Amino acid sequence: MSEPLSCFELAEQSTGDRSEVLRWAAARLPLVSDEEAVHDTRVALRRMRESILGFDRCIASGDRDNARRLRKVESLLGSLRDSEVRLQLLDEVLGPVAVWRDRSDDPRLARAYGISVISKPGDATRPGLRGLETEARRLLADLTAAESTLARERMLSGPVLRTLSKLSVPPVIIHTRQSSRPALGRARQQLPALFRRAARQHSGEGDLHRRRIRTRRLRYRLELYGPVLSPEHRSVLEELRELQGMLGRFHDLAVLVEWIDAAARDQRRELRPALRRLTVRVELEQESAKELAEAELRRLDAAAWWQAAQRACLG
Amino acid sequence: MSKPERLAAIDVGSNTIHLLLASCTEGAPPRQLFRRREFVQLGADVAETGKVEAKRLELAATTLRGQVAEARRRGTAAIAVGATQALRSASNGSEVAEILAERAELEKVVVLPAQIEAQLAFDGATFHLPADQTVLLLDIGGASTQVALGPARGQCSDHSVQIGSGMIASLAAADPPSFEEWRLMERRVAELLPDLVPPLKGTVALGTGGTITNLPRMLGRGKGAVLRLGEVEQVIELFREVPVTHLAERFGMDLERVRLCRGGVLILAQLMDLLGLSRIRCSERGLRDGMAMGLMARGSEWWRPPEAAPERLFPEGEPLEVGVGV
Repeated sequence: MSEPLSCFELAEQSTGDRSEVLRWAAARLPLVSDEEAVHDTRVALRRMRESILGFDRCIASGDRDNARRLRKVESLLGSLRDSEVRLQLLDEVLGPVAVWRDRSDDPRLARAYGISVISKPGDATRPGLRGLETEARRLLADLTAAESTLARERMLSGPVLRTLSKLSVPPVIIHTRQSSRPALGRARQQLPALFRRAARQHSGEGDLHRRRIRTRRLRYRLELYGPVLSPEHRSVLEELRELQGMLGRFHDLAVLVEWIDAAARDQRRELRPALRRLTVRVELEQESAKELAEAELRRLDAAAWWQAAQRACLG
Repeated sequence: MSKPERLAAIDVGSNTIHLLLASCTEGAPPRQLFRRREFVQLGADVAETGKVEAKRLELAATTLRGQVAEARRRGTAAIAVGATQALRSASNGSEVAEILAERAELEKVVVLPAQIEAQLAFDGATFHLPADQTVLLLDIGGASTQVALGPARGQCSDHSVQIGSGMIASLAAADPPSFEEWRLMERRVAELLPDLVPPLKGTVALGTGGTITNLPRMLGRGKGAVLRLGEVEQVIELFREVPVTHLAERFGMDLERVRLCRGGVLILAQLMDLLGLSRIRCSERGLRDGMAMGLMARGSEWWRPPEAAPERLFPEGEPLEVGVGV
């Protein structure tokens, strides 16, 4: 029977693998056409950071500070990622910029088309751009693209890329009495608290936001200890990934609503009615995302899924 | 030309009961002699409970009785009283209309169907325009908004939307409204307004109703001013930042009217954008003028269309999109 993986071995393995992933992702960053490069780099930075935080006692003192540096670069890349997510959401919720709405219900054309011109009240917010919405929609896309370009220039300047290149080197793992202990023991020390935090319910507006952060934290730490956990941890990870996707979508839409609000303030007044209608559409989408995420959390909480998941992972 | 007659028209609206005394001559627009307006807010009860409550009915009856007495004292030959959306949608609307008529010693208070209301407002607002001019009329009331399109003085195609200044203004309790309240108001307007098709080029856009007629004052402009969409948005900015108590004092307006304008102006901005109107002329004439004209032309049957209405362009029974190239 083979020896269980020690903290030293798992730290060395995970930091080695993850720095390689980080190096590849960072190399793709300057490619404007690579839409996922920024996202992949941020995820790689987060995973690398989790490795350092998870095995902090095995990391050489000189490299422990890398966690802070990784966090800084990740937040720098955040504004670029935000604008990319915004472009995607705008496309998804409001439709692509270049498409003009179908005017086949125009009474002037209706007879020619042989169709009814009746508009049902429930269709008031149906897809398609009305009034100055086309112009407002284009404006939102232009503003986001300009922000994205600016953020890209700032993020991909020499110092940021140099810092990324330095952080892509695996940290030095040291042999200590603690680092030679089984990694599973370390996982058993850390994971229960993360499960408890992720399961904790709060009342009020910030609940979904808090749970999103804690779910993400738990997921990354589970991934880190994956090699020493029971095989069932994979289905737990899958569930967490799905939940995180729902919570993330709600969060992204909430940020988008705030951003449109702020952007509308500086625009010419004629565009504001159209911008208000676009905001309403995003809000409706945000509400359905919220309902989905809350329903999923309720389902997991009611089934005591968190406790069962912890048992499944740690035995 | 016939001798001018002194006639009165009273509109029992969702926000106000409003008397117009006018000198009417057949074939000419009425000349306004006297106006009296009181805030009774029948629409508030209807929005809350679906009917007009006893207390509000008492207030409405007293107000109407006072206005009828005033019109008679000032020598009116006949009085037309028409009720709009509040009584149209109240579960006890026809009963209330009967009580109002009895208490004010009137033959009848007519609960106007939306289409008739739109046509009367259209008649009143467009009578002074050349007959070949296509007109789009926006009449924003307390509980409903009529969008009517047609040739001036002619038959209009209308679209009645169940949204009004009172309904939207009542969503805000704070003064100025909180961020969330504004959001709710904006959202309700966006949700309730249907898809509208912009009218053809060359169409004159007119606006009437309490909100629109008061907007020029808030922008330091004269009666009947032409307002741009940007100016309407300027008033919205004002409402977002300044309490209505200050605005009422600043512009010398009724506090209640200013509060209602807060809802109406949001509707107007959305309608202007959806209909592609960069500007709109604020008309001082509208429903009550149309009622007085009807009284002059058709006597006690003032609300009935003058002749069999021409075949409608679109099917009945469902809301129609407006913006037809007639």
